[in-house]
Amino acid sequence: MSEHIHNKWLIILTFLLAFALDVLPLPGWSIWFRPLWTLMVMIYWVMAFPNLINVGSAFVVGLVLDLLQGTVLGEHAIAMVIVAYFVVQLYRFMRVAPLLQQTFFAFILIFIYQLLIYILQGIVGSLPSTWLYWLPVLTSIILWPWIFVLLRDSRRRAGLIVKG
Amino acid sequence: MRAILFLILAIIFMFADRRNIAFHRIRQVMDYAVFPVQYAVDLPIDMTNTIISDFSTQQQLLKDNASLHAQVLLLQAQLQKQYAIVSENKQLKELLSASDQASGQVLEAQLLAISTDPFLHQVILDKGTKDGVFQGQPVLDSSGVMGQVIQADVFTSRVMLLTDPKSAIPVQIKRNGIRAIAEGTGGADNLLKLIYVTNTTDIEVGDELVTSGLGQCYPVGYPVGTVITVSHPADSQFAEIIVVPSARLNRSRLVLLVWPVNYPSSRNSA
Repeated sequence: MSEHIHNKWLIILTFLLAFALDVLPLPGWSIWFRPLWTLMVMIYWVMAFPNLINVGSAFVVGLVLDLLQGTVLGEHAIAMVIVAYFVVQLYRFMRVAPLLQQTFFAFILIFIYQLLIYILQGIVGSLPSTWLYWLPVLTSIILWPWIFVLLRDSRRRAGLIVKG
Repeated sequence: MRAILFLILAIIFMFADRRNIAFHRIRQVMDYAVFPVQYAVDLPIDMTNTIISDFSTQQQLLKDNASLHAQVLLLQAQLQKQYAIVSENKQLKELLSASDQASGQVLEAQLLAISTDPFLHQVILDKGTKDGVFQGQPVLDSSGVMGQVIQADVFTSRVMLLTDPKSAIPVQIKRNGIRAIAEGTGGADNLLKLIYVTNTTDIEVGDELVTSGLGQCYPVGYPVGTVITVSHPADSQFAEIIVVPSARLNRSRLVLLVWPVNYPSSRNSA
């Protein structure tokens, strides 16, 4: 069953916004607090339209992140693809789960993502040496319910209806 | 399974990016795609800065100030070289050999307001191959060496800072001319360490390090950093020497790109 979405601009716009937030310069002390914007937007859209936004889009989004952040090409792509794969498997539970439970799902996914980046950084040879590296997981998860509600409402307002 | 396919593709990308020089061309082309995003992030910040300075009542003064600052930056960079020449002259007089210290061309560049992953120790400049920037080019700020260009795109270029664990720079102690290699520690505290320095080497806290020019990448005689700790671990024949870089790695917004004297810089427009 394919989903027909006539205005994809909302999806593209939110991704562009997330990219911008991911590279927006922050004052030095707050640099480690930066939430994983793109990942959260990604998780949401896979959850909403798993037939449209899935591992393929995750791959492209991951590559763009690599280019923007200057990491080895493919690093974020691998992590994104794996997380997207899990979301495709889990989206039925995540959609109907109460917000708290869903946040827990998101927490696990975001943690897996950060762990994968950590491992890949290790393979590439520049392992982040401070525990502050894990802070974005925390800030992301605090923001998740808000992001979820915000994206859901803007999706409804734009007339994108979730089926299946 | 599509997920597996994309995973394999991503892994191939990673290997290609690490090992293959030809792949860097492809990456450069792909960078065009993200340039609009980088520009879009930089533009409002840049504009806000412009508007703020425009609304100031002393507009003309500010303009003068900015150009003077740029001049000071250039002059300071030249002055750094003079200091080094003076201290080197003593040694050279004894050796009776003239050194080729003609200064290369320089070009002023600005950091783009784009932050990369905090554990990467990279910055992005607003000058690219269209201004003659090339891979491996040394980058300085007003107080010392910052790093070198690792990827030159058409409009932008990516600079690896000295503190990156992959960065190593040949240095020399100003006081006695002992040579060593300074490597980035990669930590969040932005420090360097001297590697393979034996316990018996004459290095003290407070010693200033300048580039030695060996390795043909960085020009001779620019300040690199100051030794802050020297320790002698019992289980090693090498001393542990920590250096704080003299360039203001996380504060400078204006930097200088340097063309070595022997590099054909005809493409350089500056």
